[in-house]
Amino acid sequence: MVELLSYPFMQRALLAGVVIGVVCSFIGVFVILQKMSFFANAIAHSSLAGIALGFVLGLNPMVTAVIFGIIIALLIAYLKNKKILAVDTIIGIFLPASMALGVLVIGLLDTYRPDLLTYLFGNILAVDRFYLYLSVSLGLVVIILLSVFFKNYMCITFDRELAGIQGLHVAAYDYLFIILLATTVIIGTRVVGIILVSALIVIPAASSKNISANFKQMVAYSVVFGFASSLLGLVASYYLNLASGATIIMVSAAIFLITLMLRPVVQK
Amino acid sequence: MAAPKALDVKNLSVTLGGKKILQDISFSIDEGDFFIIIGPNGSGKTTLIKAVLNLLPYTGKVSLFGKSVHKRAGLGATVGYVPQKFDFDRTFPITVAEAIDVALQKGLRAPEQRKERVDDALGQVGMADYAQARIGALSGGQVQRVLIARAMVNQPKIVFFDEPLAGVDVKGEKSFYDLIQNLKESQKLTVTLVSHDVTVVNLYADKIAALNRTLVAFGTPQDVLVAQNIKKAYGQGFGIFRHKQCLKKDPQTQSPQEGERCRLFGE
Ligand SMILES: Nc1ncnc2c1ncn2[C@@H]1O[C@H](COP(=O)(O)OP(=O)(O)O)[C@@H](O)[C@H]1O
Ligand SMILES: [Mg+2]
Repeated sequence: MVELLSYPFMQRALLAGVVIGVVCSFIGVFVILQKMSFFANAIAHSSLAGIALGFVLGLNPMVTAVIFGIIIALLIAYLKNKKILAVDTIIGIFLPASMALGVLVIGLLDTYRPDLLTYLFGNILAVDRFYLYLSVSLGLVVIILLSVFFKNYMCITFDRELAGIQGLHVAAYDYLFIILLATTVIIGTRVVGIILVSALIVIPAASSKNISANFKQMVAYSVVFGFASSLLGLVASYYLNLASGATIIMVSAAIFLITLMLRPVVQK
Repeated sequence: MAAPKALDVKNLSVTLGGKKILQDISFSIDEGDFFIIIGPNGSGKTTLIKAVLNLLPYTGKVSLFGKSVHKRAGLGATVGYVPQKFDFDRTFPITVAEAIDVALQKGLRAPEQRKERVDDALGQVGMADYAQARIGALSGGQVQRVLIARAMVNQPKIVFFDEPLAGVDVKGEKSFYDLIQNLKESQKLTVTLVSHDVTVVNLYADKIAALNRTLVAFGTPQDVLVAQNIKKAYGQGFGIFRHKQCLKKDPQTQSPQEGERCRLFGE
């Protein structure tokens, strides 16, 4: 462990990984209870186009990916609220279309062709100083806003009508949540990859739901599981020379299996 | 200056999905009134309550205790609401106490005070032992009682019950009306209730509205509960029928007793 921490790239990787693990698993509680995991997945897939856009415009690709991801997410939410199409149809259009756009644009860039696989499956070792600052600061913003509005989001998640009577502007909270979710998903793609990031949002929260008796417990366990998955996954991937994103997800899946077995014991 | 009306509805109309559901409804009730809304299924009773609570878009004017409900702030602490249908995810890990606490007004900060209020509300509905139970593990009738506790937790000035007794047994029904009657007297609570039970209407109502997309009749039970109005609201072939069952007012305690009961029934 000491040896591991002596490399600056590994320090950055661990810090970024742990922050991502915590943010994803925190927001994940609200995502699974509001049945929005497919939504998170669609946003993740839009990041490829956002990254490509960064290369085309000569801007930092993570920054353009976050902005593009938020725009796509708001667009999906807007169409969903219009109630013209079912949510799964909307997502079934946006996910592949934005993915295809990303693949095409990246293919057209002949000056610099970043490795597609790195984006699809993440590369924690490519965490540079800028990404570290970006992910930690955006991650903190997400955590702080979710904490400040915790009770309101809890109320909206459990009973939207009650939230309305209490005078909460439910639609505004929904849009803020979508922006926070898109931000979380996009910064997470760098660590665990486009394909796996929604798993880091869904699995720790689902594991926690298995064994939680109340809402506060669900949040606490989820964050602990997200933190542990990232940390253990990164360390294991380093020593066993495995892909970091995939290892993190396998650790969280193992935790899920354990909680699934504990479920009958805990929930009587 | 006269005290403001507890609920004042003026020219309320609701259109949903291009369909006119409610048309030009106007009425008002006083503080402390027991107000009952009757009307056949699909007549717009739920829609009326939701519009009044600002949960649906409407035209017209709604005021609670002299304040327009368009201004969002503060409605939560003045108003309690028990919805007709409460669809929730039964796997949601939330305890009864947590589910009530989210409804408790934010101004109350001290955790002990909050807990006390939640426990009091649960005690009133006989659910004190269930504070730490997961709400998803409760029966339908128990969930209903938790919802009633939740509606009461802010010590509201007005409560809206939308057919609150569906799925509650006769014993629960009696204790519900006892509770409401109690609160009404001790706290000057204004009660709005959707019910099909004419006995209840006769026993408790100060004002009645018979609804069928428009306001068919409004006034005291004696004024409204005449065959003519019932036929207008429910259609020909409907009337007030009596059959022996459970509720009658005890002349001494004023609480409902076993006895005769009437309902609105079609032929
Ligand atoms: N969101 C909606 N869009 C379109 N029609 C609706 C909507 N909600 C309710 N309705 C219609 O409004 C009418 C009144 O419904 P409701 O208020 O629930 O009646 P009640 O509570 O008296 O049984 C019904 O015909 C119902 O189909
Ligand atoms: Mg109804």
